[in-house]
Amino acid sequence: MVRSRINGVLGLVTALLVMVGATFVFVVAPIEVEMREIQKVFYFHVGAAWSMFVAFTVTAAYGIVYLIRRNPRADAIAGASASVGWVYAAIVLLTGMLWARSAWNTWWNWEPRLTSMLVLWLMYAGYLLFRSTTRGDARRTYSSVFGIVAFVMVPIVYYSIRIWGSVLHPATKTKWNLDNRMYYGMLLGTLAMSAAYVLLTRLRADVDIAEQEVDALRQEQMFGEDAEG
Amino acid sequence: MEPQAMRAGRSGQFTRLVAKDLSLQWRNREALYVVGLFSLLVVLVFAFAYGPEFVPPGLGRAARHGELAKLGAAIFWSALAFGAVIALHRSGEADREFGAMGAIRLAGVSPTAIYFSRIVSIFIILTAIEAALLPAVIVFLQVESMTAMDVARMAGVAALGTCGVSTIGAFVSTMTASARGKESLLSVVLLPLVVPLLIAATKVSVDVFASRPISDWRWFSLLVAYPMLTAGVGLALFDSLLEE
Repeated sequence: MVRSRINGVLGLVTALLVMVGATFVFVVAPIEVEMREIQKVFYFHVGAAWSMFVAFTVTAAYGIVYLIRRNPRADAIAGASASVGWVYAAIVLLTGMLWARSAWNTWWNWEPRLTSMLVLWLMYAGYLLFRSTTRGDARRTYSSVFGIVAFVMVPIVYYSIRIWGSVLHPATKTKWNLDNRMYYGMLLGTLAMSAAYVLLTRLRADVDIAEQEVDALRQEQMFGEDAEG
Repeated sequence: MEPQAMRAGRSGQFTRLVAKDLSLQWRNREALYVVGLFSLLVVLVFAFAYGPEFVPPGLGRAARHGELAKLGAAIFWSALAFGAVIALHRSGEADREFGAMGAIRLAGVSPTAIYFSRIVSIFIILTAIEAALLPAVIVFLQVESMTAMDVARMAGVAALGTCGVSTIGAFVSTMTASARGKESLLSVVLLPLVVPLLIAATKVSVDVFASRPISDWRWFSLLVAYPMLTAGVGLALFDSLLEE
Protein backbone atom coordinates (compact mmCIF):
# COMPACT_ATOMS: atom_id res chain seq x y z
CA MET A 1 0.00 0.00 0.00
CA VAL A 2 2.74 2.40 1.08
CA ARG A 3 4.83 1.28 -1.89
CA SER A 4 2.09 2.00 -4.41
CA ARG A 5 1.51 5.41 -2.80
CA ILE A 6 5.23 6.20 -3.15
CA ASN A 7 5.07 5.05 -6.76
CA GLY A 8 2.03 7.29 -7.33
CA VAL A 9 3.84 10.34 -5.94
CA LEU A 10 6.94 9.44 -7.98
CA GLY A 11 4.77 9.14 -11.09
CA LEU A 12 3.31 12.58 -10.48
CA VAL A 13 6.74 14.13 -9.88
CA THR A 14 8.07 12.45 -13.04
CA ALA A 15 5.12 13.66 -15.13
CA LEU A 16 5.56 17.19 -13.79
CA LEU A 17 9.31 17.17 -14.46
CA VAL A 18 8.76 15.81 -17.97
CA MET A 19 6.25 18.58 -18.73
CA VAL A 20 8.38 21.40 -17.31
CA GLY A 21 11.52 19.92 -18.91
CA ALA A 22 9.83 19.58 -22.31
CA THR A 23 8.59 23.18 -22.09
CA PHE A 24 12.12 24.38 -21.34
CA VAL A 25 13.66 22.23 -24.07
CA PHE A 26 11.16 22.99 -26.84
CA VAL A 27 9.83 26.45 -25.93
CA VAL A 28 12.13 28.39 -23.59
CA ALA A 29 15.61 27.27 -24.75
CA PRO A 30 16.73 29.15 -27.88
CA ILE A 31 17.45 27.44 -31.18
CA GLU A 32 21.20 26.88 -31.43
CA VAL A 33 22.86 28.79 -34.27
CA GLU A 34 24.92 26.02 -35.83
CA MET A 35 22.93 22.84 -35.27
CA ARG A 36 19.46 24.41 -35.45
CA GLU A 37 16.56 22.19 -34.21
CA ILE A 38 18.64 19.01 -34.09
CA GLN A 39 20.51 20.48 -31.09
CA LYS A 40 17.39 19.62 -29.00
CA VAL A 41 18.60 16.02 -29.16
CA PHE A 42 21.42 17.08 -26.83
CA TYR A 43 19.03 17.46 -23.84
CA PHE A 44 17.84 13.86 -24.21
CA HIS A 45 21.34 12.60 -24.93
CA VAL A 46 22.90 14.09 -21.78
CA GLY A 47 19.93 13.18 -19.56
CA ALA A 48 19.86 9.58 -20.77
CA ALA A 49 23.65 9.23 -20.47
CA TRP A 50 23.65 10.47 -16.87
CA SER A 51 20.75 8.18 -15.88
CA MET A 52 22.42 5.26 -17.66
CA PHE A 53 25.62 5.73 -15.64
CA VAL A 54 23.56 5.87 -12.44
CA ALA A 55 21.57 2.78 -13.50
CA PHE A 56 24.63 0.62 -14.15
CA THR A 57 26.27 1.81 -10.93
CA VAL A 58 23.13 0.82 -9.03
CA THR A 59 23.17 -2.59 -10.75
CA ALA A 60 26.77 -3.22 -9.64
CA ALA A 61 26.13 -1.87 -6.12
CA TYR A 62 23.01 -4.00 -5.59
CA GLY A 63 24.90 -6.95 -7.06
CA ILE A 64 27.43 -6.56 -4.25
CA VAL A 65 24.60 -6.17 -1.71
CA TYR A 66 23.00 -9.38 -3.00
CA LEU A 67 26.25 -11.32 -2.78
CA ILE A 68 26.72 -10.21 0.84
CA ARG A 69 23.14 -10.37 2.15
CA ARG A 70 21.48 -12.84 -0.28
CA ASN A 71 18.37 -10.68 -0.34
CA PRO A 72 16.25 -11.42 -3.48
CA ARG A 73 14.95 -7.83 -3.51
CA ALA A 74 18.51 -6.53 -4.01
CA ASP A 75 18.87 -8.77 -7.06
CA ALA A 76 15.48 -7.65 -8.39
CA ILE A 77 16.55 -4.00 -8.09
CA ALA A 78 19.90 -4.75 -9.78
CA GLY A 79 18.13 -6.47 -12.68
CA ALA A 80 15.46 -3.78 -13.00
CA SER A 81 18.06 -1.03 -12.92
CA ALA A 82 20.05 -2.76 -15.67
CA SER A 83 17.02 -3.16 -17.92
CA VAL A 84 16.08 0.52 -17.57
CA GLY A 85 19.76 1.49 -17.97
CA TRP A 86 19.95 -0.57 -21.14
CA VAL A 87 16.98 1.28 -22.65
CA TYR A 88 18.65 4.57 -21.71
CA ALA A 89 21.87 3.34 -23.32
CA ALA A 90 19.88 2.69 -26.50
CA ILE A 91 18.51 6.25 -26.29
CA VAL A 92 22.06 7.59 -25.87
CA LEU A 93 23.21 5.65 -28.94
CA LEU A 94 20.22 6.62 -31.08
CA THR A 95 20.28 10.32 -30.18
CA GLY A 96 24.06 10.25 -30.68
CA MET A 97 23.50 8.86 -34.18
CA LEU A 98 20.97 11.59 -34.98
CA TRP A 99 23.50 14.18 -33.84
CA ALA A 100 26.30 12.51 -35.82
CA ARG A 101 24.22 12.48 -38.99
CA SER A 102 23.54 16.16 -38.68
CA ALA A 103 26.96 17.34 -37.46
CA TRP A 104 29.37 15.03 -39.28
CA ASN A 105 27.17 13.74 -42.10
CA THR A 106 27.42 10.12 -41.02
CA TRP A 107 25.27 7.90 -38.80
CA TRP A 108 28.22 6.15 -37.27
CA ASN A 109 31.82 6.89 -36.53
CA TRP A 110 34.26 4.47 -34.88
CA GLU A 111 35.60 7.02 -32.41
CA PRO A 112 36.41 5.89 -28.83
CA ARG A 113 33.23 7.12 -27.13
CA LEU A 114 30.86 5.60 -29.70
CA THR A 115 32.76 2.34 -29.87
CA SER A 116 32.98 1.88 -26.10
CA MET A 117 29.33 2.91 -25.72
CA LEU A 118 28.26 0.25 -28.24
CA VAL A 119 30.31 -2.38 -26.39
CA LEU A 120 28.67 -1.32 -23.11
CA TRP A 121 25.22 -1.63 -24.65
CA LEU A 122 26.08 -5.11 -25.97
CA MET A 123 27.42 -6.18 -22.55
CA TYR A 124 24.18 -5.29 -20.80
CA ALA A 125 22.20 -6.90 -23.64
CA GLY A 126 24.14 -10.05 -22.72
CA TYR A 127 23.35 -9.43 -19.04
CA LEU A 128 19.60 -9.18 -19.71
CA LEU A 129 19.64 -12.25 -21.99
CA PHE A 130 21.51 -14.11 -19.27
CA ARG A 131 18.88 -13.18 -16.70
CA SER A 132 16.10 -14.34 -18.97
CA THR A 133 17.64 -17.78 -19.50
CA THR A 134 18.44 -18.71 -15.89
CA ARG A 135 16.25 -19.23 -12.84
CA GLY A 136 16.37 -19.17 -9.06
CA ASP A 137 19.48 -18.73 -6.95
CA ALA A 138 21.80 -19.40 -9.90
CA ARG A 139 20.29 -16.46 -11.77
CA ARG A 140 20.58 -14.15 -8.77
CA THR A 141 24.18 -15.02 -7.98
CA TYR A 142 25.47 -15.16 -11.54
CA SER A 143 23.75 -12.01 -12.69
CA SER A 144 25.06 -10.15 -9.61
CA VAL A 145 28.56 -11.24 -10.58
CA PHE A 146 27.88 -10.30 -14.21
CA GLY A 147 26.57 -6.86 -13.19
CA ILE A 148 29.78 -6.19 -11.26
CA VAL A 149 32.02 -7.45 -14.09
CA ALA A 150 30.19 -5.49 -16.80
CA PHE A 151 30.58 -2.35 -14.68
CA VAL A 152 34.30 -2.45 -15.57
CA MET A 153 33.25 -0.98 -18.92
CA VAL A 154 31.46 2.04 -17.39
CA PRO A 155 34.61 4.03 -16.44
CA ILE A 156 36.13 3.06 -19.79
CA VAL A 157 33.18 4.74 -21.57
CA TYR A 158 33.36 7.74 -19.24
CA TYR A 159 37.10 8.29 -19.65
CA SER A 160 37.39 7.08 -23.27
CA ILE A 161 37.80 10.60 -24.63
CA ARG A 162 40.52 11.44 -22.13
CA ILE A 163 42.34 8.16 -22.77
CA TRP A 164 42.22 8.04 -26.56
CA GLY A 165 41.22 11.58 -27.45
CA SER A 166 38.58 12.48 -30.00
CA VAL A 167 37.98 15.35 -32.33
CA LEU A 168 34.22 14.76 -32.23
CA HIS A 169 33.15 14.40 -28.60
CA PRO A 170 34.03 16.85 -25.84
CA ALA A 171 35.46 15.21 -22.71
CA THR A 172 32.74 14.61 -20.11
CA LYS A 173 32.69 17.60 -17.80
CA THR A 174 30.74 19.03 -14.93
CA LYS A 175 31.01 22.73 -15.83
CA TRP A 176 29.27 23.91 -18.95
CA ASN A 177 29.59 27.09 -20.92
CA LEU A 178 25.97 27.29 -22.05
CA ASP A 179 23.21 29.85 -22.45
CA ASN A 180 21.31 29.87 -19.10
CA ARG A 181 18.06 28.71 -20.70
CA MET A 182 19.85 25.83 -22.40
CA TYR A 183 21.60 24.96 -19.14
CA TYR A 184 18.28 24.76 -17.25
CA GLY A 185 16.76 22.79 -20.11
CA MET A 186 19.57 20.29 -19.78
CA LEU A 187 19.24 20.20 -15.99
CA LEU A 188 15.48 19.69 -16.09
CA GLY A 189 15.76 17.10 -18.86
CA THR A 190 18.30 15.19 -16.78
CA LEU A 191 16.10 15.44 -13.67
CA ALA A 192 13.06 14.18 -15.60
CA MET A 193 15.03 11.27 -17.03
CA SER A 194 16.40 10.42 -13.57
CA ALA A 195 12.95 10.52 -11.98
CA ALA A 196 11.60 8.27 -14.75
CA TYR A 197 14.54 5.94 -14.10
CA VAL A 198 13.72 5.66 -10.38
CA LEU A 199 10.03 5.05 -11.07
CA LEU A 200 10.59 2.49 -13.84
CA THR A 201 13.21 0.64 -11.79
CA ARG A 202 10.88 0.40 -8.79
CA LEU A 203 8.02 -0.87 -10.95
CA ARG A 204 10.23 -3.35 -12.82
CA ALA A 205 11.68 -4.65 -9.56
CA ASP A 206 8.15 -5.19 -8.19
CA VAL A 207 7.21 -7.13 -11.33
CA ASP A 208 10.38 -9.20 -10.99
CA ILE A 209 9.59 -10.09 -7.36
CA ALA A 210 6.01 -10.95 -8.34
CA GLU A 211 7.29 -13.17 -11.18
CA GLN A 212 9.60 -14.98 -8.78
CA GLU A 213 6.71 -15.55 -6.35
CA VAL A 214 4.54 -16.95 -9.15
CA ASP A 215 7.43 -19.20 -10.18
CA ALA A 216 7.82 -20.46 -6.63
CA LEU A 217 4.04 -21.10 -6.28
CA ARG A 218 3.98 -22.93 -9.59
CA GLN A 219 6.83 -25.19 -8.48
CA GLU A 220 5.13 -25.81 -5.15
CA GLN A 221 1.95 -26.77 -6.96
CA MET A 222 3.84 -29.10 -9.29
CA PHE A 223 5.59 -30.85 -6.42
CA GLY A 224 2.31 -31.00 -4.51
CA GLU A 225 0.62 -32.75 -7.44
CA ASP A 226 3.56 -35.13 -7.76
CA ALA A 227 3.28 -36.04 -4.11
CA GLU A 228 -0.46 -36.72 -4.42
CA GLY A 229 0.02 -38.77 -7.62
CA MET B 1 40.32 -38.29 7.85
CA GLU B 2 41.33 -35.17 6.03
CA PRO B 3 40.49 -35.19 2.31
CA GLN B 4 43.51 -35.58 0.06
CA ALA B 5 42.92 -32.19 -1.58
CA MET B 6 43.09 -30.42 1.80
CA ARG B 7 46.53 -31.87 2.40
CA ALA B 8 47.82 -30.97 -1.04
CA GLY B 9 48.08 -27.21 -0.33
CA ARG B 10 47.04 -24.55 -2.81
CA SER B 11 49.86 -25.05 -5.28
CA GLY B 12 49.36 -28.81 -5.21
CA GLN B 13 45.62 -28.38 -5.79
CA PHE B 14 46.35 -25.98 -8.62
CA THR B 15 48.77 -28.35 -10.44
CA ARG B 16 46.41 -31.30 -10.04
CA LEU B 17 43.45 -29.32 -11.39
CA VAL B 18 45.44 -28.10 -14.41
CA ALA B 19 46.60 -31.68 -15.06
CA LYS B 20 42.99 -32.86 -14.72
CA ASP B 21 41.70 -30.23 -17.20
CA LEU B 22 44.43 -30.93 -19.72
CA SER B 23 44.09 -34.70 -19.53
CA LEU B 24 40.31 -34.36 -20.03
CA GLN B 25 40.97 -32.21 -23.09
CA TRP B 26 43.59 -34.66 -24.34
CA ARG B 27 41.29 -37.67 -23.96
CA ASN B 28 38.71 -35.86 -26.02
CA ARG B 29 41.22 -34.31 -28.40
CA GLU B 30 39.08 -34.80 -31.52
CA ALA B 31 36.94 -31.96 -30.24
CA LEU B 32 40.07 -29.85 -29.84
CA TYR B 33 40.98 -30.52 -33.47
CA VAL B 34 37.51 -29.30 -34.41
CA VAL B 35 38.18 -25.99 -32.64
CA GLY B 36 41.56 -25.66 -34.40
CA LEU B 37 40.08 -26.47 -37.78
CA PHE B 38 37.17 -24.09 -37.21
CA SER B 39 39.59 -21.24 -36.40
CA LEU B 40 41.56 -21.99 -39.56
CA LEU B 41 38.34 -21.94 -41.59
CA VAL B 42 37.51 -18.53 -40.12
CA VAL B 43 40.89 -17.31 -41.40
CA LEU B 44 40.10 -18.69 -44.85
CA VAL B 45 36.60 -17.18 -44.93
CA PHE B 46 37.97 -13.76 -43.99
CA ALA B 47 40.86 -14.14 -46.43
CA PHE B 48 38.32 -14.78 -49.19
CA ALA B 49 36.00 -12.01 -48.01
CA TYR B 50 38.57 -9.23 -47.78
CA GLY B 51 41.95 -10.81 -48.30
CA PRO B 52 45.11 -9.65 -50.08
CA GLU B 53 43.27 -9.42 -53.41
CA PHE B 54 41.39 -6.42 -52.10
CA VAL B 55 44.55 -4.44 -51.33
CA PRO B 56 44.83 -1.82 -54.11
CA PRO B 57 47.39 -3.03 -56.69
CA GLY B 58 49.18 0.31 -57.20
CA LEU B 59 50.62 0.47 -53.69
CA GLY B 60 54.36 0.43 -53.02
CA ARG B 61 55.95 -2.50 -51.20
CA ALA B 62 55.90 -0.88 -47.75
CA ALA B 63 52.35 0.45 -48.09
CA ARG B 64 51.10 -2.94 -49.29
CA HIS B 65 52.80 -4.62 -46.35
CA GLY B 66 51.14 -2.12 -44.01
CA GLU B 67 47.68 -2.92 -45.44
CA LEU B 68 48.27 -6.66 -45.19
CA ALA B 69 49.45 -6.25 -41.60
CA LYS B 70 46.12 -4.61 -40.72
CA LEU B 71 44.20 -7.49 -42.30
CA GLY B 72 46.44 -10.10 -40.70
CA ALA B 73 46.06 -8.68 -37.19
CA ALA B 74 42.28 -8.27 -37.51
CA ILE B 75 41.75 -11.78 -38.87
CA PHE B 76 44.08 -13.42 -36.33
CA TRP B 77 42.15 -12.02 -33.36
CA SER B 78 38.72 -12.56 -34.91
CA ALA B 79 39.53 -16.22 -35.59
CA LEU B 80 40.84 -16.63 -32.04
CA ALA B 81 37.70 -15.03 -30.55
CA PHE B 82 35.40 -17.41 -32.44
CA GLY B 83 37.58 -20.41 -31.64
CA ALA B 84 37.66 -19.40 -27.96
CA VAL B 85 33.85 -19.46 -27.76
CA ILE B 86 33.78 -23.14 -28.79
CA ALA B 87 36.80 -24.10 -26.68
CA LEU B 88 35.34 -22.40 -23.58
CA HIS B 89 31.96 -23.98 -24.03
CA ARG B 90 33.60 -27.38 -23.94
CA SER B 91 35.71 -26.67 -20.89
CA GLY B 92 32.70 -25.30 -18.95
CA GLU B 93 30.69 -28.37 -19.91
CA ALA B 94 33.27 -30.84 -18.60
CA ASP B 95 33.13 -29.36 -15.10
CA ARG B 96 29.35 -29.50 -14.93
CA GLU B 97 28.95 -33.09 -16.08
CA PHE B 98 27.99 -35.53 -13.33
CA GLY B 99 28.35 -32.77 -10.73
CA ALA B 100 32.14 -32.77 -11.10
CA MET B 101 32.50 -29.21 -9.80
CA GLY B 102 30.41 -30.04 -6.72
CA ALA B 103 32.71 -32.97 -6.00
CA ILE B 104 35.81 -30.82 -6.38
CA ARG B 105 34.36 -28.27 -3.96
CA LEU B 106 33.44 -31.03 -1.48
CA ALA B 107 37.04 -32.21 -1.56
CA GLY B 108 37.95 -28.86 0.00
CA VAL B 109 39.73 -27.36 -3.00
CA SER B 110 40.08 -23.57 -2.72
CA PRO B 111 38.13 -21.42 -5.25
CA THR B 112 41.34 -19.50 -6.01
CA ALA B 113 43.04 -22.73 -7.09
CA ILE B 114 40.01 -23.66 -9.22
CA TYR B 115 39.90 -20.22 -10.87
CA PHE B 116 43.62 -20.06 -11.65
CA SER B 117 43.74 -23.66 -12.85
CA ARG B 118 40.92 -22.89 -15.27
CA ILE B 119 42.74 -19.78 -16.50
CA VAL B 120 45.94 -21.76 -17.07
CA SER B 121 44.27 -24.70 -18.82
CA ILE B 122 42.24 -22.38 -21.09
CA PHE B 123 45.43 -20.40 -21.77
CA ILE B 124 47.32 -23.56 -22.81
CA ILE B 125 44.49 -24.70 -25.12
CA LEU B 126 44.13 -21.29 -26.77
CA THR B 127 47.90 -21.03 -27.19
CA ALA B 128 47.87 -24.38 -29.00
CA ILE B 129 45.18 -23.01 -31.34
CA GLU B 130 47.21 -19.82 -31.89
CA ALA B 131 50.28 -21.88 -32.79
CA ALA B 132 48.29 -23.20 -35.75
CA LEU B 133 46.61 -19.87 -36.51
CA LEU B 134 49.66 -17.63 -36.73
CA PRO B 135 51.44 -19.48 -39.58
CA ALA B 136 48.11 -19.71 -41.43
CA VAL B 137 47.58 -15.95 -41.15
CA ILE B 138 51.17 -15.22 -42.22
CA VAL B 139 50.85 -17.47 -45.28
CA PHE B 140 47.27 -16.78 -46.42
CA LEU B 141 47.35 -13.05 -45.77
CA GLN B 142 50.84 -12.86 -47.29
CA VAL B 143 52.44 -10.94 -44.39
CA GLU B 144 55.60 -12.78 -45.31
CA SER B 145 58.14 -10.06 -44.61
CA MET B 146 57.80 -10.75 -40.87
CA THR B 147 61.15 -11.66 -39.36
CA ALA B 148 61.75 -14.27 -36.64
CA MET B 149 61.97 -11.36 -34.18
CA ASP B 150 58.52 -10.15 -35.26
CA VAL B 151 57.10 -13.64 -34.77
CA ALA B 152 58.58 -13.69 -31.26
CA ARG B 153 57.06 -10.26 -30.54
CA MET B 154 53.73 -11.51 -31.87
CA ALA B 155 53.97 -14.53 -29.57
CA GLY B 156 54.36 -12.10 -26.66
CA VAL B 157 51.37 -9.99 -27.72
CA ALA B 158 49.32 -13.15 -28.31
CA ALA B 159 50.24 -14.40 -24.83
CA LEU B 160 49.01 -11.16 -23.25
CA GLY B 161 45.77 -11.20 -25.23
CA THR B 162 45.18 -14.87 -24.52
CA CYS B 163 45.78 -14.21 -20.84
CA GLY B 164 42.90 -11.71 -20.92
CA VAL B 165 40.58 -14.03 -22.85
CA SER B 166 41.37 -16.80 -20.34
CA THR B 167 40.72 -14.68 -17.22
CA ILE B 168 37.33 -13.60 -18.60
CA GLY B 169 36.56 -16.96 -20.19
CA ALA B 170 37.22 -18.89 -16.97
CA PHE B 171 34.33 -17.32 -15.12
CA VAL B 172 32.01 -16.68 -18.07
CA SER B 173 32.07 -20.38 -19.00
CA THR B 174 31.40 -21.33 -15.37
CA MET B 175 28.51 -18.87 -15.27
CA THR B 176 26.78 -19.82 -18.52
CA ALA B 177 27.16 -23.58 -17.97
CA SER B 178 23.94 -23.59 -15.94
CA ALA B 179 21.84 -21.49 -18.34
CA ARG B 180 19.41 -22.63 -21.00
CA GLY B 181 20.76 -22.30 -24.56
CA LYS B 182 24.25 -22.04 -23.12
CA GLU B 183 26.13 -22.41 -26.43
CA SER B 184 24.71 -19.24 -27.92
CA LEU B 185 24.55 -17.46 -24.55
CA LEU B 186 28.26 -17.97 -23.96
CA SER B 187 29.07 -16.10 -27.17
CA VAL B 188 26.83 -13.10 -26.46
CA VAL B 189 28.17 -12.84 -22.91
CA LEU B 190 31.83 -13.48 -23.70
CA LEU B 191 32.35 -11.44 -26.86
CA PRO B 192 31.30 -7.99 -25.52
CA LEU B 193 33.48 -8.59 -22.46
CA VAL B 194 36.54 -9.40 -24.56
CA VAL B 195 35.96 -6.71 -27.20
CA PRO B 196 38.07 -4.00 -25.43
CA LEU B 197 40.88 -6.53 -25.17
CA LEU B 198 40.52 -7.62 -28.80
CA ILE B 199 40.62 -4.01 -29.99
CA ALA B 200 43.81 -3.37 -27.98
CA ALA B 201 45.39 -6.64 -29.11
CA THR B 202 44.55 -5.94 -32.76
CA LYS B 203 45.93 -2.39 -32.62
CA VAL B 204 49.21 -3.59 -31.10
CA SER B 205 49.42 -6.60 -33.47
CA VAL B 206 49.11 -4.37 -36.56
CA ASP B 207 52.46 -2.79 -35.66
CA VAL B 208 54.02 -6.18 -35.00
CA PHE B 209 52.73 -7.68 -38.27
CA ALA B 210 54.04 -4.59 -40.09
CA SER B 211 57.49 -5.05 -38.48
CA ARG B 212 57.26 -1.63 -36.83
CA PRO B 213 57.92 -0.64 -33.23
CA ILE B 214 54.70 -0.25 -31.20
CA SER B 215 53.33 3.18 -32.07
CA ASP B 216 50.65 3.69 -29.41
CA TRP B 217 51.55 2.49 -25.94
CA ARG B 218 48.04 3.25 -24.60
CA TRP B 219 46.74 0.15 -26.41
CA PHE B 220 49.60 -1.89 -25.00
CA SER B 221 48.78 -0.62 -21.49
CA LEU B 222 45.15 -1.67 -21.98
CA LEU B 223 46.34 -5.07 -23.18
CA VAL B 224 48.31 -5.47 -19.93
CA ALA B 225 45.83 -3.80 -17.57
CA TYR B 226 42.61 -5.45 -18.75
CA PRO B 227 43.65 -9.04 -17.89
CA MET B 228 44.89 -7.87 -14.47
CA LEU B 229 41.63 -6.02 -13.81
CA THR B 230 39.42 -8.90 -14.92
CA ALA B 231 41.55 -11.43 -13.01
CA GLY B 232 41.14 -9.28 -9.88
CA VAL B 233 37.37 -9.04 -10.29
CA GLY B 234 37.17 -12.73 -11.22
CA LEU B 235 39.20 -13.74 -8.18
CA ALA B 236 36.98 -11.69 -5.87
CA LEU B 237 33.78 -13.15 -7.30
CA PHE B 238 34.63 -16.71 -8.36
CA ASP B 239 33.79 -18.06 -4.92
CA SER B 240 30.20 -16.80 -5.31
CA LEU B 241 29.96 -18.44 -8.73
CA LEU B 242 30.93 -21.82 -7.32
CA GLU B 243 28.27 -21.69 -4.62
CA GLU B 244 25.54 -22.32 -7.20
